Amino acid sequence: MALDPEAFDDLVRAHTDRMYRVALRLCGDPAEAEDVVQDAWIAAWRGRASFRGDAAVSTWLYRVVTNTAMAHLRRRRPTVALDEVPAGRLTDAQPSPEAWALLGERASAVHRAIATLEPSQRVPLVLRELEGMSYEEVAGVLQVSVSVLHKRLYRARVALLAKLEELR
Amino acid sequence: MTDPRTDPGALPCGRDRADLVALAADGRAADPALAEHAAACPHCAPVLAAAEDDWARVRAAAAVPLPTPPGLAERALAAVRAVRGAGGVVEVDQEGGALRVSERVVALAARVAAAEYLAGAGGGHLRSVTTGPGTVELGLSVRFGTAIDPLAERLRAHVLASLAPHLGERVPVVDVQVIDVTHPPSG
Repeated sequence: MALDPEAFDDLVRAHTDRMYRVALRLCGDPAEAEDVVQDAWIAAWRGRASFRGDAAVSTWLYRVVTNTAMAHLRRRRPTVALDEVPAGRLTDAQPSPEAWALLGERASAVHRAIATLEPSQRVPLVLRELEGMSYEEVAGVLQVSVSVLHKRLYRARVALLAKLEELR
Repeated sequence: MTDPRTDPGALPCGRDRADLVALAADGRAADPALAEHAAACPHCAPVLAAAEDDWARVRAAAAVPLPTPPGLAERALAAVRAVRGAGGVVEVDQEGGALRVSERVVALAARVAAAEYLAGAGGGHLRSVTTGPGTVELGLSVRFGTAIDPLAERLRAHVLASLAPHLGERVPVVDVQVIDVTHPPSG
C-alpha cells in the first residue's frame, strides 16, 4: 500500500474518530486527546515508511496513537498527579460537554478509574476492554507475545477492579 | 481487610484468581470448564460474581459512544499538511555559502517547542501551526480564565529561543492567535 499524500489524507478522514476515541480513553481529557490526535497523525506521516502494506493499517495506527498518548502522559505537568484527576475533568467535554455526561455515573466512574492507572496499564485495557480488540490484535499493537499480554492485562484488570471498588 | 477479587494467589480450591478475573472480562463462554467449576465452587463463585459485576460497568463504559469534536479530521489534515507542504526555505548566510532550512522543518520545530511549553505551563493547547515567509503562526485553544497576554508572550519567547540556535538571525516572527476556548474543569 503506497501512502502517497492523497491516500494518507483518506486515512486521516477514515480513522480520526477511532484515534480520538483511543486518545481520550487513554488521557481522560478531551483537549489533550485532540493534541494527541494531531501529533499522532504527524508522527504517522513522518513514519509512514515504517508501515508495511501487509499489516493491518488499523494496527499501525493504534500503535502510533497509543505511543503518542503515552508520550503525552509522560510529559504531563508533574504538579498534576494522575490520581488527582478531578471527577469533573472527564465531564469537561469540549466542544461537546454533553458527551461525557451521557456516559452516566457508572460509565464515567470506569473512565475515571482508568485515568488513575499507570499509563502502561491503560493501553492494554483500553484496546482490549474498551475497543474490543482480540488478544492477538492487541499483542500486535504492543509488539509483544499473547502470553506477555495476558500477564499485563491481568495486572491492569486487577488494578482497575481495585480502583472501581475505591470509587464505589 | 483483604479484597477477594484482587488479592493475588490461588484460592483454596486451587484455582487461580487471575483466571477468574479473565473469565469475568472475557465471558464464561471463553472457558466453559472453568465457568462450570466456578458456578459450583464456594470459593470461586463469589470471586467471579463480584468480578463480573464490576466488569459489567466496564462493558457499559465501552458501549457509550464518544463523539469526535467537529472538524477534528480537518484540523489533523491541516497539521499534517503544514509539515509536508511544499513551502519555502529559510536561508541562513554562512561563511562560504548558505544554509537552507525548509519551512516544513521550521513548522515542525515550532510545533514541538510550543507543545512542550504548553504541556508544562498548562492553560492552552496547540491547535495549528502555519508558516509563511519569515513567519510562524501558532493557533491556540486556551482554557477559560487563562490570562492570554502572558501566556502568549511566554510561549512566543520559548518558541523563539528554541528556533534561534537553528536559524540565528533568520528566526521567524512568531504570531500567536487564539482560535478557541475550552471549558474549565467542572469538578
